[in-house]
Amino acid sequence: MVKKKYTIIVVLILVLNFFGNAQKPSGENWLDIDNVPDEDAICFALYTVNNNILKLTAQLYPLQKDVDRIVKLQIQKEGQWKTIAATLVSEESYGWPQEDEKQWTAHFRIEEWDSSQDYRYRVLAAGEKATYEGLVRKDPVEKEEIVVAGFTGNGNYDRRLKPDIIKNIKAQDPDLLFFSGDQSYDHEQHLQAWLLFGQQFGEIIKDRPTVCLPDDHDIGQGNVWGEAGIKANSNAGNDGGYYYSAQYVNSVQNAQTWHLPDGYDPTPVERGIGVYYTSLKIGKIDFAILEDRKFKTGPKGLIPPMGPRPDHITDPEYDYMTVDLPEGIILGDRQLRFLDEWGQEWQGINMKVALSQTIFANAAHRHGKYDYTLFADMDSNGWPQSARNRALESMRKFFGFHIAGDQHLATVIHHGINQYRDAGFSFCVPSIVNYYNRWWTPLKEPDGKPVPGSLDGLGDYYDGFHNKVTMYAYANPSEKRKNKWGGEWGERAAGYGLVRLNVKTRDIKMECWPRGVDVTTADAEQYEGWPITINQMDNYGREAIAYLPEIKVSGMENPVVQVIYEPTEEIVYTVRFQGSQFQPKVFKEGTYTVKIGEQPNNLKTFYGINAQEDEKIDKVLNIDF
Amino acid sequence: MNKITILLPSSLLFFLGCQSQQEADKEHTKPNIIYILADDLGYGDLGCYGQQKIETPNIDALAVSGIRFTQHYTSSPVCAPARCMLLTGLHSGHAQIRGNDEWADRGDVWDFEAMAKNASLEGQRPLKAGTQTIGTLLKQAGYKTGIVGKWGLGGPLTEGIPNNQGFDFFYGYNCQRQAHTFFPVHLWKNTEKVPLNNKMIPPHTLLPKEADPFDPESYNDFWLTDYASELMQNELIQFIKNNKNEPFFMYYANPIPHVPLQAPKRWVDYYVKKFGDEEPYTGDKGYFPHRYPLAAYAAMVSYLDEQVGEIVALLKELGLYENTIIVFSSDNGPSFNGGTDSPWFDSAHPFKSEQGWGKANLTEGGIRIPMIAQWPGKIEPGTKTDLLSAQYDVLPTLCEIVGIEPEGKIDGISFLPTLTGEGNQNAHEFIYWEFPASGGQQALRMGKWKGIRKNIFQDDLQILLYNLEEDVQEQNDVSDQYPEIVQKIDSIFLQEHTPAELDRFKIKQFGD
Repeated sequence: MVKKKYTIIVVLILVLNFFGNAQKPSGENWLDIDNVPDEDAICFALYTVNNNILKLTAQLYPLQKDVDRIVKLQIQKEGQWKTIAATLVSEESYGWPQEDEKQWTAHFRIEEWDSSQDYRYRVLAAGEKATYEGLVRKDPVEKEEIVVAGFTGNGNYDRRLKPDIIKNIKAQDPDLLFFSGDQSYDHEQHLQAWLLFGQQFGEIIKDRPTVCLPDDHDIGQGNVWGEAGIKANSNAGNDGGYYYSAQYVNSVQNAQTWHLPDGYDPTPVERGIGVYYTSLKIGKIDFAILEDRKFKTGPKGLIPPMGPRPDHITDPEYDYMTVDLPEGIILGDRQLRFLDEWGQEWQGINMKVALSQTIFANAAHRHGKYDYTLFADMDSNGWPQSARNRALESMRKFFGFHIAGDQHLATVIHHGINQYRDAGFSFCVPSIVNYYNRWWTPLKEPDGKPVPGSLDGLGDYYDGFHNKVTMYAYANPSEKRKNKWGGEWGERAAGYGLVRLNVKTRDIKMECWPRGVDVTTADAEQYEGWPITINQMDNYGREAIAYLPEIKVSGMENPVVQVIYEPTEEIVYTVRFQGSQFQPKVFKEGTYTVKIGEQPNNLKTFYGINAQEDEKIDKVLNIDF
Repeated sequence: MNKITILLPSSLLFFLGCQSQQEADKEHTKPNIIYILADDLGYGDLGCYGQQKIETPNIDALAVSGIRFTQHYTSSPVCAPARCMLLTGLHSGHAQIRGNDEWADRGDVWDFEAMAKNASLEGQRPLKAGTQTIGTLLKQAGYKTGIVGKWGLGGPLTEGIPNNQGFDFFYGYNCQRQAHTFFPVHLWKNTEKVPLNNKMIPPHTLLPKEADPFDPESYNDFWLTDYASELMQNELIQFIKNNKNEPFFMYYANPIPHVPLQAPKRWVDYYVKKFGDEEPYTGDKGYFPHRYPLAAYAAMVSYLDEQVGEIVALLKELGLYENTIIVFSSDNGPSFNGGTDSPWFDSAHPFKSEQGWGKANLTEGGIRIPMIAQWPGKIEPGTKTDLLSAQYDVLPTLCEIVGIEPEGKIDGISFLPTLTGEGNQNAHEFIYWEFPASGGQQALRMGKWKGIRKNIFQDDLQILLYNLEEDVQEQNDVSDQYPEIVQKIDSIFLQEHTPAELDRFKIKQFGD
């Protein structure tokens, strides 16, 4: 009898939690971090290896006063543990609003790392009473298929562990984990939230490279338009900048991104806020790691109010042209320059993928509650439109595929700039715990060429900012999806994405897995509409206006090809072609320079090549290496 | 300044290179040795030993890439004898210099004006000619030897000067009293008296009565032109550069953070910002007044830390880093005068640091000191050892490293096996101290036991006994419960004490 009563109370608490406000009042002690035994002092560890540099962050719980502060990193060599580095745990303050907490991170950067084989590692702390073991994987250069698991939005109304995800990820064994943002929803308690995140995901993170990007909730805001680090006046953030202290933002980045490869240009923005955008090679895939919030322009005061919030447009009569700010920023000059430079580097690389917080579209019609329709949401990267187009233009120049999150609504979109489908594909992954529902419910039939699939409302649409988007799949919250792991997760369209990148065929297969599914069973089902397979070449979907002569290469397979439009010296694209015979497409007539071969030293350059409208030109360019 | 903290993690990195071949080549190259001895720096004054208020990222970086000793002791709780025993490898029952002896029978040795004119009034009681020191031994081993900092083992015109005691190069304070200002009117370079561009402000000058103690301008006389610490650091850098092509030994007897409180303004400002405003120190406990005494103490330690960072950077720049051993330690526990507040900083943590428990006492706060050693490729990063050891072990350790044998009996035991993790580490049965000052003290550390006599000059020969495993603050005398331990300590006291040659260091209660 007593037991039954207890069960009812637990159920009640769960229900209350479920319906309760996700942003708990700060200071609430929902995770006891101050009385962790020395033996358990290490919560988890994250790492990446890039260009033979291992970077690893160990996140510790707060240490007691007289516990030793040195943290060591050991690797196993010939069965023996060998210390390769030591550091002091960071006791820097987290900064307001958590100025009484310390960072408790230990960072290791090891050069000349041998990435040709797996190494077991362990972290030792608290006078070696605490140990934490994991695996630094070798660089999977010989693997044909590189698997990325993508996560977003770890809503805090459910703080339980995630055994379903852990089991599935262990089975699917991805080569890279990508957490696109909102790992924490505890706006004023990132330390605790991050430790909880470590409890939830450490078990899969410790054994493979992981990319985390802090997003708005991680730094304590409902939304963030970073405007290069200025101070925001409220934690709604819509006047641009960051509300909490620069130190807090840096502490969040310290925890989540220190282990990323060294920044491409780490010059801090305003108020000393750090910058981490960079790239990471996994096998023959090169990932750009972008910050699409930090530099972005905030909407408040720049555009006329057209709804209850500066960032929400609910007025059906609104003119999308009035909100486009030609000078508005999303990635900003620094990151666009990075993409332009990095996009040209193809040494040892077959495919390029961009990772960022969110997608370049405003692909949802209903927000929060089903009845609340929004025409446009400026927190999405559909806005400002000009900046959105600039980003997509940069990304298609390297045939870039884009993985992101944040939207709470899984989608696969083929983006258009001037025409439908003339840029790349994005996969917005579903939330781990879906804090805020969104729905794709277009009112009209799509334009143009149909997209295959059983879902309604696939195909060419304008999003709320009149951006051209072609919907391939979406995973709306649905009563239909009650699964055995807990109805609320299925209902709210929670889950994760998996992307299989085949470096040989160049196919990109997107999978979208709901929470609670056991992927090891035969009847495991993805969200309706998935999987979707595209090819790398689809990421510059623009139709050819003209063609260069067919190129036949001997003495080399799969060369890197760069096409440059001579009158303006603009790089049209750079990509590693497949095979030894191909005909580069271009988008206007004229003369082109073509560079072919292997970077950096085995390139041949051909100037003054004429592009012609007719694909079937007789002329063949034979190139011997 | 905040930047320093932010950069801390990256400054602590230890790089694991492909070392095997390089290491093999270096087997044949004698390592350079830099031994840094801080002055009155407590066991708890460094971040890597638990300091919470003062920032020492560069010294912490040595610790994370090297080894920390948690049971290392000075040989004596004050400057001169600690230095004597460090350099000679003998404990205080055998050493020549067993206390600070200003050698006052020469005249008014505390008259700074007179001392400025007459070098024969400077300095302390000298080491005897022909003494075997780390300097003489490493010279035999082919090392270029230098000392920069505070000497204290023989006045300028005596046989005790560094150049007569095994050092090719000397720059700094010959005299410990001269070190009572960081703006002296001269320093010594070898046997040359180098005048400095400072006016004579005799140490222990008080803040003028009419001055406003809260006005920083009132303290202008206590920050002059030529800052001795900076000059010494420059000479040290030059010594390393001059000797980069041959093995060298540098004994950096850094006078920081010994009072007076005189620290670069940028560091003081940093800590004023960090700690907030505070009561001025007007000089009633000696040395010099300071507007912000707490900030100044922390500033001195952080400045010392900055100097260590500069040395490491220089070694890297010159390509010497991989083949240089850096040892960092202190001569004794934290001070109680001159405006310092050791309990506020918990400078001897976890030991007591109040007056009577820190410097000049054989209690743990006075003699337990930090020691860090870094030697890339030889010492495993982040190592911590509880090996019971003393500064009189440094001489045999360095001898073993360079492959020579000291002559005669040495009290120290080489701790090289602990540094490298190779070979068998011989253990001390005990560490012995006697101190013919502060009421006359004698102490022994043996395993977990600490025996101590505190008032020998009052004929109190009672041995107090503490179990340091349970009672690090020496609060609970258990001599009644363990008479056999007390008996053993008593017999070791008897056996280890030999009468000092110099009257000043004799203890009549022992029949000297």
